[in-house]
Amino acid sequence: MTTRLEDDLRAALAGAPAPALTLDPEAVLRRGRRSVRTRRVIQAGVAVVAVAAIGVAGTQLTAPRHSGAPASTRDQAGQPPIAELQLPGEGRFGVAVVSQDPNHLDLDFHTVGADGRLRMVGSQSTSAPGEVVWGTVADHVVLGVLPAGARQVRAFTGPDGSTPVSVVTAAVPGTDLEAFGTRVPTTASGTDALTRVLWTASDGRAHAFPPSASADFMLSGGSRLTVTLDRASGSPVMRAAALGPGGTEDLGSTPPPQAWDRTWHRVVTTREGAVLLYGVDRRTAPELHPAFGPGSHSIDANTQTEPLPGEDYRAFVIEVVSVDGHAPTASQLTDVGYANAPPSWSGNHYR
Amino acid sequence: MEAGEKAGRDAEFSAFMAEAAPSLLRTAWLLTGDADRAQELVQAALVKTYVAWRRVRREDALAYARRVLVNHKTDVWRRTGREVPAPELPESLAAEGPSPVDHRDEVVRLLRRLPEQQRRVVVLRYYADLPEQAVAEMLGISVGAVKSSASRGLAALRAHLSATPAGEGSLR
Repeated sequence: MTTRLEDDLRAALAGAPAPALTLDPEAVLRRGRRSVRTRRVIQAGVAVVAVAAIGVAGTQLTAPRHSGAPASTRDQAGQPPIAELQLPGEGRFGVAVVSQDPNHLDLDFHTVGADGRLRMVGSQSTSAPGEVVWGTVADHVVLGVLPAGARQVRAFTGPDGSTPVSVVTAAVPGTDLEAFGTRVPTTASGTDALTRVLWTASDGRAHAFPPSASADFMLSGGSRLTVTLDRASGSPVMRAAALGPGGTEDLGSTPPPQAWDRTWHRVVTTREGAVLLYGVDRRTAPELHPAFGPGSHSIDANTQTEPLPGEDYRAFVIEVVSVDGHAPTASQLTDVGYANAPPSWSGNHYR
Repeated sequence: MEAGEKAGRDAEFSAFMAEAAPSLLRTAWLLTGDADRAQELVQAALVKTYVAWRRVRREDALAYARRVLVNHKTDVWRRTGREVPAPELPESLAAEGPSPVDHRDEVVRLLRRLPEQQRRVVVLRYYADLPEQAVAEMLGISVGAVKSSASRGLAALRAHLSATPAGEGSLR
């Protein structure tokens, strides 16, 4: 039995004016053919791995069957490579690599029942696969993949990427991918999104996805400064840019000091004449304290700090402000230190 | 695969695509409220259906494609870092009372304000016209959860529209 409300809703959903929605059938066929080819290659690789692994104990899904799918949509031969993840308090999940090539990655996400049966609960695909891809299932469980061999995997949530969440990982057999899973907190405003993932690659380098984290500062003259910590190359670089009335000014890149004791910083004079000392240091660092050069009695400094999302670090800027109307110079701001630092605090080396 | 078999498969799939695309596109648009995301979603769902075509076959293909569609997460996070929030309902809409056409449009906008599960259940039940059991299987939830999501979704829509005068196309 249906109600008037349900009938009206049916009519509204069927009759609501929609924008022009189009589909390129050729593009679907092209991508589909490519996925079929890739899948065959992946399955061939998995078969080799499976033969090599006979007799070796390990995590294995038993006779997976997709109970939620139409009966004829899955069979044993068509099963893509899958990694199982045990999330404490949440149960078992599977991450399956349905297809993979340089231009496309398709993942299916499953729950794994006590009997090993799989139920597909989500999927994720991207036409621009980066180093990490993830999706949310069951409202608060994030599943995804990152490069094989990743260790010390850490993930962050929250608006400023400051909330760490614990991560479990497992290799996806026959692929160059490592599956990961985590539970994200549920807050009053809904479920937090995963902000960033950090890991150490097999070569020992620290990586992050998204690769860069930025913080913005408003300067006294109305210009804006953006400080970015970029890990795209595996070797971190600090970049900065100023946005003023004359447009964007690239302030260049700065590699980290060899031994980063306390701060990683740089002094610049912008095109607008602002003298800035900007940099990156630990989120937990004590209060920043600028050091002025000789003859600097007529200047003052504004100090600002902002956390870098998904990093243990924060960005900071110290802007020189003249108190006698004379334009400040870069030589007046020579260094930066910390005030009220506890005796135990000696800074940290970058990783 | 032999060339002939491949061509036959492509022809068969193309016919299915031509038949199913309008319904899938509209379903995706109702779920997302965004034309670009809807098209992206349908393309992804059809690619997966193509890959599974030998096992899916035509009789199950629409159900399979729809299942992939409603469970698929687009990579919106890559562009925004988080889900795009639905816009707030302008006060004036509730106060003035829309025309019938605007009213239908408003229902679609209100759909975006529903929690994801309620939105998916409402679209599958009242646009795709699927029975509760089929929706439950498609979303991997219980029939009871389908019932409660549909009921809450309808109640939320009714509450948002309760201030509008009853007329053609209104929800009462």
